[in-house]
Amino acid sequence: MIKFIRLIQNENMKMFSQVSNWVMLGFYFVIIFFNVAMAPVDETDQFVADPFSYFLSSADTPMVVITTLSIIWAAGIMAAEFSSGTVKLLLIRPVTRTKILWAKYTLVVLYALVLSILYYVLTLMFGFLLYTDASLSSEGVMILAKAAGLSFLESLFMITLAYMIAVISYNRSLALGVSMFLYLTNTVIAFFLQTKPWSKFLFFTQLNLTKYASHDGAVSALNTLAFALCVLGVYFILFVVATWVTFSNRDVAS
Amino acid sequence: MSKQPVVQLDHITKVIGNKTIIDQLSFELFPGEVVGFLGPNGAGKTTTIRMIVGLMAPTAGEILIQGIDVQQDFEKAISHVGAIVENPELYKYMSGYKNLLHYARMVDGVTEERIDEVIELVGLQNRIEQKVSTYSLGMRQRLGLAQALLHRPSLLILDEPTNGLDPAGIREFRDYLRMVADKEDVCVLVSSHLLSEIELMCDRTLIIQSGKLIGEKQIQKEEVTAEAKKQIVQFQVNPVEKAISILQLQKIVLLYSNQTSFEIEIERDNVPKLVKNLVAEDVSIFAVETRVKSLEDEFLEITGGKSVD
Repeated sequence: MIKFIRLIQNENMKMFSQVSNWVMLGFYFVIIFFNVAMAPVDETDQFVADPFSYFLSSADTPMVVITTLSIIWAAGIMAAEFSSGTVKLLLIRPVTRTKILWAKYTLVVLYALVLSILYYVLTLMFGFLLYTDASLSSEGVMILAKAAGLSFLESLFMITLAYMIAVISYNRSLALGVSMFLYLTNTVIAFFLQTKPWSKFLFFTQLNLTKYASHDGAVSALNTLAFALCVLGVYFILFVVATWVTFSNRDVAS
Repeated sequence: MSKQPVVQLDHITKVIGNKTIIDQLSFELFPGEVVGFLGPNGAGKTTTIRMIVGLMAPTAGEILIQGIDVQQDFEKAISHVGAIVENPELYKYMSGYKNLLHYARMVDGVTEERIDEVIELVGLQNRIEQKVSTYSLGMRQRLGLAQALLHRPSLLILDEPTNGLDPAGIREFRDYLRMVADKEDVCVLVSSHLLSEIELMCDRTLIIQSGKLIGEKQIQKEEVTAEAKKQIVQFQVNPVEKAISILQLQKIVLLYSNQTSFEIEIERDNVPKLVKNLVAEDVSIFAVETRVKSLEDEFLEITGGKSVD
């Protein structure tokens, strides 16, 4: 276990030694501030009854950014070792491949988790700064927490998908391209496939989880949150096993 | 040898697709020796090394490091090995020190003192805090050596370690290698296709071709060669025809001759006598040279200078 933590520490060191990471984090903060700047400040705005909750509920653009950044890391963190050849020196240590594989994955998940938590903390902070007399109803907290949790699950699923493609293909661009495409178009694909009954068993039609945050669970009789989570869960296990089996048995010849 | 071998390869076979890359390869390496691993490009050197370090799994046969099977107990077996596989590809965006720290964290028991010690051993003290992207190839090679030595391995594997180095760099690397081999008392396996280099570095060579071990040779140190009985000696004389007729009288076999010189195989003790005879017959001698067979000659002889198949 200590070794596993040291591996995560290593991955973290490599992540933060790269300039691209700082550029991406800069982008993340820019988006958060942009979102704050776009908040409705006029409290007498007739279209918005409660500007504070409106601000909170409309603030899901940064979540797209967090998921995107996580996908970029998930696609690159292993593929980069292969394209630079460093994987040869990485895998000849007294550490099993399984540990190296999941240390990298864990770091990307932690990255997404930290960015998400930081985002919600900052959003609430700015919310209270902007609307000094606002108070948060318990219902509002529930919706916010639910949205946060569900969007994190979306990120987690996308990370797993991107990581699997990257590990199996050693190809960063392919992993990034396919994952981003599915992530950005999943609602459109789901819409086109909605007349087909089998489509609800495809993971990308169930990917949009945040829509369940404001409803009471069911969108339609068959499409409940529980059902969506089951479908995604099955795919998740499939992806994890595929990633693990491929990586631990493959010859490294790059 | 009564010593326990560091590495044992037992009938290793590797088949990729339907092509047999390595065919029933067996050899043993012992502590304290520097062994050259020779072969033409595509002979299977790198594949063999990748199997020893566990990057590839053999199709058949087993590899033991300090008696531990690499496939069965990878973590334990590999902890005895330090290696550079092909070029030392390090994390260019990090400093040399962070690179070493990275590898040190992956092994138990590498202290900060040990990291500093290794840095000093390869002479990188002054540049270790700078990014690897600013390093020359020679410095990267040294850092590669440093990461391989961190955990005091008993086996050091270097795959084509001088690829891309200039002559000065090669020489420097060779000196470092000899020094660490002596100082750290490890068994070193060096693969290369540069023969003269192997000749200068190694105690023993293994020659492989098409995945088979086709030659094994103890590199003879100069004093040994001097005592070897038959030698090839080249004479530069004038006139050559007259000299050859003298040779025929003495029943010495002529290997080669041209307008100005000839080559014969002769026992060392008989050289002075022949020279005396030649002088007595009024043959002018310009030079007498012993030709030691270089490893290159031997390599081409063994591999037959054949192309890769």
